[in-house]
This record gives sequence, structure tokens and C-alpha cells, in this order.
Amino acid sequence: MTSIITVKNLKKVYKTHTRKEGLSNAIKSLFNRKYEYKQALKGISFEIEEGEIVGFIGPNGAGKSTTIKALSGFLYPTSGEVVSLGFTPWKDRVDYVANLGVVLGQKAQLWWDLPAIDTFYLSKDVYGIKESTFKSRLNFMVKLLDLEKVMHTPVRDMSLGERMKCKLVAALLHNPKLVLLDEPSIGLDVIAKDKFRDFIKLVNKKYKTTFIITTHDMQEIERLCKKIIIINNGQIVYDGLLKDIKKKYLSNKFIDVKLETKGEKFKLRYCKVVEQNEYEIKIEVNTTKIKVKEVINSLLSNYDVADILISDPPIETIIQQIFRSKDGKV
Amino acid sequence: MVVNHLRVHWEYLKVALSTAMEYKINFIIQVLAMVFNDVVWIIFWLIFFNRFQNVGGWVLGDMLMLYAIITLSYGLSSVFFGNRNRIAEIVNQGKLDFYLALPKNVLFHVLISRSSFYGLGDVVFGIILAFIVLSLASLSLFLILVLASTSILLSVAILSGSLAFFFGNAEATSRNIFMGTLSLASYPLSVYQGVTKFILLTIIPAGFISGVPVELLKSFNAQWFWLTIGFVVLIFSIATFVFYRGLKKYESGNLMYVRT
Ligand SMILES: Nc1ncnc2c1ncn2[C@@H]1O[C@H](COP(=O)(O)OP(=O)(O)OP(=O)(O)O)[C@@H](O)[C@H]1O
Ligand SMILES: [Mg+2]
Repeated sequence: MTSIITVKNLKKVYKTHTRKEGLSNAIKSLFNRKYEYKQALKGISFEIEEGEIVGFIGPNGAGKSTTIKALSGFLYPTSGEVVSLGFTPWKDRVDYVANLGVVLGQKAQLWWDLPAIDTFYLSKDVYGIKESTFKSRLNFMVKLLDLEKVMHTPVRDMSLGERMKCKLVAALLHNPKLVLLDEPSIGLDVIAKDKFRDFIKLVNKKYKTTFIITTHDMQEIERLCKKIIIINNGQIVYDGLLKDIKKKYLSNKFIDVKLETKGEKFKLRYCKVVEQNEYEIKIEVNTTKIKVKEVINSLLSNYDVADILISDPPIETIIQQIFRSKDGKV
Repeated sequence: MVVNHLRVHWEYLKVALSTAMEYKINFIIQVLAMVFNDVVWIIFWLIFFNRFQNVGGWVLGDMLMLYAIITLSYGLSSVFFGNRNRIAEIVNQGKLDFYLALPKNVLFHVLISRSSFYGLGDVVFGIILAFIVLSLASLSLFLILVLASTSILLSVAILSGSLAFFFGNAEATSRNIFMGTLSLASYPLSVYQGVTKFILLTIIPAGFISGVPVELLKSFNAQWFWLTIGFVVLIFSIATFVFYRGLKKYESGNLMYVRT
């Protein structure tokens, strides 16, 4: 396999102007500007291979969007090296982005007052896509994402999810080799999320398109990515296969039980009671040792159960666990 | 390369025109407002010159010529480079990402991706004025000078808009610099003397936008003509240089961040 992205010791320090509120402080700051420095990336290195779908995860403020922006050529990093598709993004920007698709979940990327189809046609001219290629790609995507009708309404009148799907289409029209998605599924409902994932999988398979995707949705990661990179506080804490980290950390499930009547103290092998009070029990189950079904059965036969919720540990918990392990690395 | 950029420019114009047509009434009102604005200005100078006959050698005809040049260069840049005055906003609000993601020259793409068709009001008005005061013989010189003025106006807009890269929130400042330069350019060059005049031909290039072109149309002077052309090249180069310098400082931002 050949790597199509190589990142070496990438650092980014943001410089922001700060001033206290109030007019007199505003005037003072004219003469004596105070800056605040925020080290968003503290020297990250990784490689990505062609045809992969890589999940980029981490808590808020970890540096995910910053990495995506540096990889897109939007930002000049403070130091470090990026070679992506053979280009340095911020230096060879025009040639580079001709082969790149970017979706920023939180940003406007379509002309607000125009129907999405007009933005698509403008993209066609901006990228210089041939009419026939354009038509067939557009039809292919529009059908899969159910956009036939909606793409003719002005973007400002679209729902969040419809807009997001159109953004994805706009980013893929020119058949980019590499696609960077920054929280592409915020605002999508469950069905739309499903379609969205199937679509990305299909494009990945059909065109060998490489995807990097950031999200807070662990289910999305599980459905899409074999490989993940976890970033925290500007540093990479894990870079490897999802199944390896799952074996280690996602093997635990949380079970949240609400009781109709007061119950005894819960006890079962391979289960840790995280919290228990009169009408509620929280249990952490090691699923490599005991089946969830067994635990539920035990609960049902011993308690007057009102409600049960089973969940994965949140990504934050996983990251905490990683830090608790000896050297902070997995 | 160039052909492709022109094609994209053309497509954006078509889209902008069709959008403008969607809001017909709004469009007509804006055009009429522009024309009204221009007419008020003309009436002011009609009354003025009726009283004073001339200002340092400038007569009413010269003033109309000046106004023909200003309205044309303002109008043309509104129509063809409609994002001229929104560079600071686009930078400051992190909207530049949209342009950076596309394989086109960023500055060019920003400028052309919007079109203010009501600028057509100014263009039409400028053409009418030119018809009244211009002799056919000086038409080609006039056209060259209008292009020069348009380029200087654009450069001023790019320079003032690029402040946002360096000072963050610069939207108001940027607009004030542009409008200030424009209003300095709408008086006869002969009212400015000494140091003021020197400044208006250097740091604040208002003199080259309108005053010098009118003087050239009154009586041609090769030296000043080439000085004007040279100045256009210089200020445009500086403006693009400053923009791309600033781009290295661009920090995107997530729209949701409110900077304090
Ligand atoms: N334009 C900016 N100017 C100053 N600081 C910034 C800027 N953009 C991001 N930061 C800071 O850099 C850090 C990393 O931000 P980034 O947007 O990369 O996080 P993220 O991992 O995408 O988080 P989230 O999950 O919330 O989207 C944060 O502390 C943020 O406040
Ligand atoms: Mg983010």
C-alpha cells in the first residue's frame, strides 16, 4: 500500500487578540495589543493510505478541525510538514484542491440564495468538469441521496440535513481522490445518517476515494472506519485499527437500570457497579467475559425492572482510560 | 488559464443576473436609488458652478467629466467585482474557506463571485454624462482612463479589505477607507494644494482615480499619462502582494466562535 498523506510533526499556534470589555479598554488595546496564543496542534505525525476511510476522533477542542483545515490548505501551520497527494497543501493549493473534496459540517459551502443545483453547475465550471461526466455523476449521487426534488429549492429554505447532503454532493462532483469531512453528519436524522454512511462506503468502493472523517458519533466510526486516529489536546494518542482499540476499551458496555421498587445490592461476576441508589443501578460489563444477555437475565429475575438502557462508553471515557494506562499511549 | 477564468466569471454573472431578476422590484428600486443619488450630486454642482463659474480652472464640464469617470469605474467594479467591499467580512468571518477549497485564484474568485447589478444604474448614468461632455476624439483615452480608475478602486478595496488578515475585526475600518478615498476623489483636483495634493497622488490615491484623468482629458500630457498607468500597475501589485501576505495569517475560525 502507498500512503497518500504523510504528516510530520505538524504544529499550529493560533494567535488571537484579547481585550477586556468596555470602551476604555478598547481604546487601550489600540495602542497596547495583547495577544493570546493557543497551541492547537502540538506536533502530530501520521500517515494515511490510499482507499482508506479513517476516523479522526477526540473531544471538543482537541484539534480535529485544525488538522482538517491544515490538510485542506486553508491554514498555514506554524511548523511541520504535510505531503498530501504529492502536494504541500498550503503551497500548491490550486493544483492540490483540484483533487480534493472538503465538507465542513459547521460552515456554509453553498450559495445561500441559489438552488443547490446552481451551485453544482458553478462547481462544474470552476473545476472544468465535462458536461457528460458531470451529468452522470450528479445523477448517481442525487439518486442515492434522494435529492431530486430538493436540489431545486434555494439553499436557505433547506433543512439542515438536506443542506448537508448537498454539501457532500458539491464536494464530490469532481471525483476527488481525497475527501475530508469535518463533522458531516451533524443535523442528520437516523435514516439520513444511514444513507449517508452507505453512500460514503459506496463511493469509497467504487472510486477508491480516500476519506478522513471527524465525528463525535462512535456508531458512525464503527460503521465506516477500519482505522482511527484519536487526538486529544493537540496530540495523537492512538493511531491504529478500530478493532484493536475496541478489544481493549470498547469491550465494556454500560447498563443503566431503573427500578420500579427498591432493590438489593447488585452483584455478578465481571460486572462493576458504577453507581447504585434506591431506584437506579449503573453497571459496567466486561463483554469479553460475560454476555450482555446473561447480565440482563440476572437483572430481570432479581429486580422489578422499569427500564433498561445499554450504551457504549463515551469517547471521552475511552480517552480517559488511555491516559490512565501507563505511558498515555495505547 | 485566462479563458477558463473568464468563463467562470461569465457563469457567475449569469447566476447573479438571474438572481437579481428574481427580486425584480428590489432590483429596480436599487437602480433608481443609485440614479437618484447621482442626480442629487449633479444638481449640487450645477448650483455651485452657477455661482462661482470655476474652481482653480475647473468648470462645470470638467466636473461632469470627473463624475462620468467615477460613476463608471464605481459601477463597473460593482457589476464585475461585486465582492469588492466584502473582503474584510469574508476574511473575518472565516468564509474564505469556501474559496480556498476551490481550484481558482482566491482573490479573483472572491471578487467575481458576487455581482451588484444595480451598479448598472451608475454605469448607465456615467455613459450618459460621457456622451454630454466627451468629444469623440478622446473616446479611447477616456476608456483607458476609466479602466485605470476601476483598477485603482479595486486595489484600494483589496488593500483596505486585507486589513482584516492583520487586525481581525476590520470591516468598518475597511469600508471607511474605501468610501473616504472615493469621496476625496469626487472633488476637483484643483481644490487640493501642496502636501494634500501630494498625499492624494501617493498614499491615498484619490487623485489618480478622477482628478488626473480629467486633467489628461482636458489637455493630454504623455508624462502624466504614463505616470497614471505606472501607478495602476504599482498599486495593483502592492494590493495583491498584501492580500497574499495576509492569507498566510488567515486562521479560518469556526463561525461559532465569537472573538472577544
Ligand atoms: N481561528 C481560531 N483562532 C483561535 N483559536 C482557535 C481557532 N480555531 C480553533 N481554535 C482553538 O484551537 C483548539 C482546537 O480547535 P479545533 O477547532 O481544531 O477543535 P476540534 O477538535 O475540531 O473541536 P470540536 O470537536 O469542538 O469541533 C481549540 O482550543 C480552539 O479554541
Ligand atoms: Mg471541530
